[in-house]
Amino acid sequence: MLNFLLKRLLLMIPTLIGVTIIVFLIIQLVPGNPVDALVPPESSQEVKDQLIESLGLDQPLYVQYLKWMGDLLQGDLGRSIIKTSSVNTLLFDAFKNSLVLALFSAAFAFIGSLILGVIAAYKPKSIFASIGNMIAIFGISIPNFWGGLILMGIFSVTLNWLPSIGMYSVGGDGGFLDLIKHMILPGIACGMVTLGVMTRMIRSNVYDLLNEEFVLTLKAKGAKSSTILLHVLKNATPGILAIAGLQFSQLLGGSILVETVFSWPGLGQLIYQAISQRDYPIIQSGILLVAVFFVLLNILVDLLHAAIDPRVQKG
Amino acid sequence: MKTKFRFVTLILVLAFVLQACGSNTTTNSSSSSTSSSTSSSSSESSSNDGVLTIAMTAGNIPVPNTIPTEGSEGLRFVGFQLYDGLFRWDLSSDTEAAVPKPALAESYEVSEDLMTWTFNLRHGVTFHDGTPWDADAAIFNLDRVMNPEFEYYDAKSAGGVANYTKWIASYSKINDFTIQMVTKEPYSLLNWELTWVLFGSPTAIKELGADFSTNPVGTGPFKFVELKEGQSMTMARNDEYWGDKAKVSKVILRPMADAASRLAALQSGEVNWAELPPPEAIASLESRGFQIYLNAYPHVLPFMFNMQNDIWSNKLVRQAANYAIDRATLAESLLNGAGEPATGLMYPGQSWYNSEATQYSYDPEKAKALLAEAGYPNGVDTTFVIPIAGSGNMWPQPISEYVQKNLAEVGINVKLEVMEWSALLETFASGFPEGSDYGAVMISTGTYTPIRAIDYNFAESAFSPVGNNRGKYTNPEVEALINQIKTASGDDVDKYMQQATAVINDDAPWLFLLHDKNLRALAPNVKGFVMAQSWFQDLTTISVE
Repeated sequence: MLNFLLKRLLLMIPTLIGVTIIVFLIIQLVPGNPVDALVPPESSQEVKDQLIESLGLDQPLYVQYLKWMGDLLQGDLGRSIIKTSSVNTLLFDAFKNSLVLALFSAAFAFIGSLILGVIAAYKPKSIFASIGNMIAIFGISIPNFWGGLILMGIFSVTLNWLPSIGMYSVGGDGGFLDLIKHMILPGIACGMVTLGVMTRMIRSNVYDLLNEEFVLTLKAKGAKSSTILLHVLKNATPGILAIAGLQFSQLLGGSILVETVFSWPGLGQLIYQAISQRDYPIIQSGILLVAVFFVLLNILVDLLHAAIDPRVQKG
Repeated sequence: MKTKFRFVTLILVLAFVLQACGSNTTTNSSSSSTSSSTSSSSSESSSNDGVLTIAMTAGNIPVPNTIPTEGSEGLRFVGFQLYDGLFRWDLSSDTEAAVPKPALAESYEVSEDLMTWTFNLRHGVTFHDGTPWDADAAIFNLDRVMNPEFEYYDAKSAGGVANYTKWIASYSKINDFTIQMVTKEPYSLLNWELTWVLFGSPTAIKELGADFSTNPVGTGPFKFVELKEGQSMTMARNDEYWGDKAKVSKVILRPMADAASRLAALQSGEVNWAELPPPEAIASLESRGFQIYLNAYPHVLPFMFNMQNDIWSNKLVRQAANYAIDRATLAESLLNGAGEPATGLMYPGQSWYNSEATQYSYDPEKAKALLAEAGYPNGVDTTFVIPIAGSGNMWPQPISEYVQKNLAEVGINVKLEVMEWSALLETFASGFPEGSDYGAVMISTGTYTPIRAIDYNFAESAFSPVGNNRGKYTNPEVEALINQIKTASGDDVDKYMQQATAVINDDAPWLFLLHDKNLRALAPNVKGFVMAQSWFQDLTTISVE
């Protein structure tokens, strides 16, 4: 197991170095300039050039890259060109906010899909199964930001039950309940696709397993249906886990539109705004952070997979 | 099995119908629920004098340095609220375009040669941290943006105001409350430029260094309280303000890049001021008691023609294009009145509008005739570049598609090329890219100072990359008038501006489309707002009941 972990961690290093180089080059090759976000559009080139020089953006790319890497290795991600604050703080806060939302969405989607998927597999012809199917298809086919706007229209504007913007009420106590209230709508909007994908996946996995011989044997032995379910779920777990890991990464990195619609101060929004303003330090470090998280999550999923299924370790 | 399926389908259809009916009834009652929610928030706020919560179009909270980020929206809601300049925009009228008035300068004199400006600074003003405002504070701030050798020189702020400080050759302290500036050339309009040069507390700048920009201290009508990155910025009323004090106790800014989200936040009572809600929501908002504000201001959304291009260097073709656009339908049907037809550079009501100048009506026959006269009886093919979004550009895509349809009807076949805003600015930084066959580019501009309106856009000295004359338009008549404008005063400024407008309208270096009307919606309980004819607005007159 330790070998497996070490191998995966070592492999992570070249992957991440590759990511840094690609991100650095791509963002610099795209036309546009952070200076455009700092001075009026009609400013003269002379003014822009002075600013570019003072920001060190006139240096050769490899010098800029090495400087960034040097600082990065010392744990300093630099200062945002536009926001002037430390990138460490900006990214950490935004990442935390996205993580909170992703965890909530994941909990909603994973629990929901497990319930819907298992019911649909057990009773494929029941009303519940049809409703489950319907929810799954809705989840997959409705774009999440649009779903978010619909939820907002019903629960914020019409019913006035839940807030539609931000993470906490301004001037509120910033407590847990306040957070939960703000999280419900964006959480559901983000989680709907995952709910849809996973419900369908769990349903077909569990359905297939229910027709396996070992289930027949269990039934013949007179095992309780809850025992059978446990056995089935254990066998279905590796597949579910692999998809769940991917879905979770997507929830974390792929919710830019939902974050924009709900003004959620997350990583997606931060990076998106940074891209439109060419705030290089945030873009580079932000994407690197997402990549690190993605790779670590994959390793974690593999480890869990290996723990559950010893064949993986041997392989 | 089939029966069961049908039963389920029936139930679901019924559920949807009921939901639809239900949502109708709730929509009707929602106006009362909305007003009750706003009134509950107002009763909460009346105890603390009212809180104005603004949904901004920017995706970020502007960094509140003396020149905030997020362009002019940053200046509107942050810069001009936290800070003052020697002059401030007079935003008290909704019937005339805003002009500068003395602020941190109480009065000023200009020498006869129009080169030496002496400013008598206002007495008794303190920064929010108690630092007194005097000539030393003024010089400190000017050094910060104009003297690269200065210890506290801030390159970003300097770049932000370079367009306005470029006229100044030197500045000096005369006594504790008098400073003097000498311009590089005779220039009678420096007061317009100085509205952008804002002053921060020297004590705070020295103490905080780079962190000043996130802990700003000015002299403005509001004091900085708190900035929560990505979420909100809170400002509180400055009870010691030298001018008219604000009525609301707090202004809270919330960044909301999505128009539908701003609309929802307004309707649910989470904000009581929404910038630019979707124009299609105007009628429904009004019917629910929300206040819709629209007012023209010095702004124009044009296509700037490439004067180096064979087709567009021909004045007749440019005029033909201008006669081909049905601006009234564009403004009313497509934008629900959120814009005003731009029949020329200035809008009627602006003191620089010239009613005797060429104004472009919708006349497709004339357009076709002009095109034929120009030697293109069978029409022309060309490419226009548009941004996805970007400061002041309104809704570039639907507007351009409409223009494309109008132009096609007279034989001008336009291919639209869409660029991201920052990429577009870079591509057109030095004007139209060499060797490109682009015929025009859409970039909006503010025409709120005489120099910005004419010199920046149409002078030969303003060919990009120096200024905003991206199409490299030039006309000796305009050059002569610019020189007169720079040294004119009083009514003469208006006279020469009108003359310049007439020449430019007739030359048609731009395809004039629309003047923005700054659509915003306010909750019913927000009172006392006067929508100035300016990109900037005065928040001090507002109360939340």
